[in-house]
Amino acid sequence: MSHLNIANSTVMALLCGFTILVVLLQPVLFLILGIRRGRELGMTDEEMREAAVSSAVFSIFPSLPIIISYLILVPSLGRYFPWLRLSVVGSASYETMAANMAAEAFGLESISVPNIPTDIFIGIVFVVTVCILGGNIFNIFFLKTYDRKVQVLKGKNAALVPVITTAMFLGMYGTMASPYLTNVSNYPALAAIFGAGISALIIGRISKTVKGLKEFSLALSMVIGMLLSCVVNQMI
Amino acid sequence: MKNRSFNDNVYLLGRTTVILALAAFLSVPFGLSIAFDSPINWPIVIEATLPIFLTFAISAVCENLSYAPIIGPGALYMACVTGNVSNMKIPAAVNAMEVAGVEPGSDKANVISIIAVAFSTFVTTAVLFLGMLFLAPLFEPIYNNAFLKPAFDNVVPALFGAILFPYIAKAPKQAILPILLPIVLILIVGRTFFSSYQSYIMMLVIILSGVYSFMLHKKGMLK
Repeated sequence: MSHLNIANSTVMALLCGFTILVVLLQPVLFLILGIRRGRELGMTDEEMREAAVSSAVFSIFPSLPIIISYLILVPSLGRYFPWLRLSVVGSASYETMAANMAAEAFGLESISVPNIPTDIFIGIVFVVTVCILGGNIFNIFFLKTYDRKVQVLKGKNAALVPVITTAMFLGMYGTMASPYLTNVSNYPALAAIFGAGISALIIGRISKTVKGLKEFSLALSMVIGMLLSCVVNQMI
Repeated sequence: MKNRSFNDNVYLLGRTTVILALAAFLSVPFGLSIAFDSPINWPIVIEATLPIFLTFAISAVCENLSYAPIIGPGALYMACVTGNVSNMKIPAAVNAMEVAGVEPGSDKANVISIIAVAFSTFVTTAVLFLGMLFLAPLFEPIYNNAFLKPAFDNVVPALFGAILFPYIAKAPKQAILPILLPIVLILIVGRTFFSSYQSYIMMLVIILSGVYSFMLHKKGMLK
């Protein structure tokens, strides 16, 4: 029996489907808790609805390349496991890397070889599942303590909270954007970053007068940047 | 639950649902092992797991320490279970705070983050589900279209531009160090080193950015 028989089996489909359902329970419960708290704080349903719509529309675009990652993983891991893996923590590059490292540890050449024995395939599934859980394990044991410390600091310096949060945010995305900002030979990427950035500034200004535009500003700016990268790519 | 504070409820719900999710994750290899009557080869599995686990765990911890104060604990519990934290969940949360006009780090911001991350999770899960059912092969020719390909290759830089530029415009003085420092660092240490240690570098830049903004604030140079 090839490992793909297992990977494409009904058992695998059921296990992955069940896991995704359990995972979805979390945002549903948090949503109930969040909305209740929002009302307590005097937020209107309209405000909360806008946040929901804006996030949902924005999230479509970063989700699209994940579909392609799915197609890349299917030949070696079957139809269902990549579906689960990409729906939860991990990424195409992590899954491929972890699966290959696990395959090598089991004495295989790589994850792409045909007919992986059942026990080795299940071992690979285990390794891929467990190796990315560090962040979650940290959250279970330490996030509460850490967050309480952060709350105490925030309580003592209330006026500073927005300043420091903005500083942290800038540090985070400044670091993540710098590889793109310094890769001066990659014109399409530069077009995307500057195109989307300038669009965001312009749309931000327009949305002060046009009601309803603000919640689509991020998604719209991204699409403009992405399209601009296509145009620039044609020009070089 | 009525007498508990909102934060306590968040911790309790977060921990419970993360444990549930992790148990569900593990049900896949264990379920297969039982269904196909093939015991897990523990010595090799542990030997393969440990080094990869540690590598990812250390950078994940650094990232979580950085993310928690920005999006709040509730959103972070969720974001870490479903992944795509930096390229989807945090931008979704920060954007929603911006749309709602709430102050980052406040209670209202935490509520907005929770709503944003929850909906972001629903959308990704739905897209992936449709992808698995039928969408993936249909989408492939669009993705590989010669004209459109750069659009999909550049989702991440477009996202960084769209989310970063308005922040720079909003807080130009605060932005100088956190934007320039990583650029200077990358030019000094090189791209490969930078990308290998990005989680650690990010934490360092965030701390320095905080100190720098604190000093600007102390000197009365903000607003």
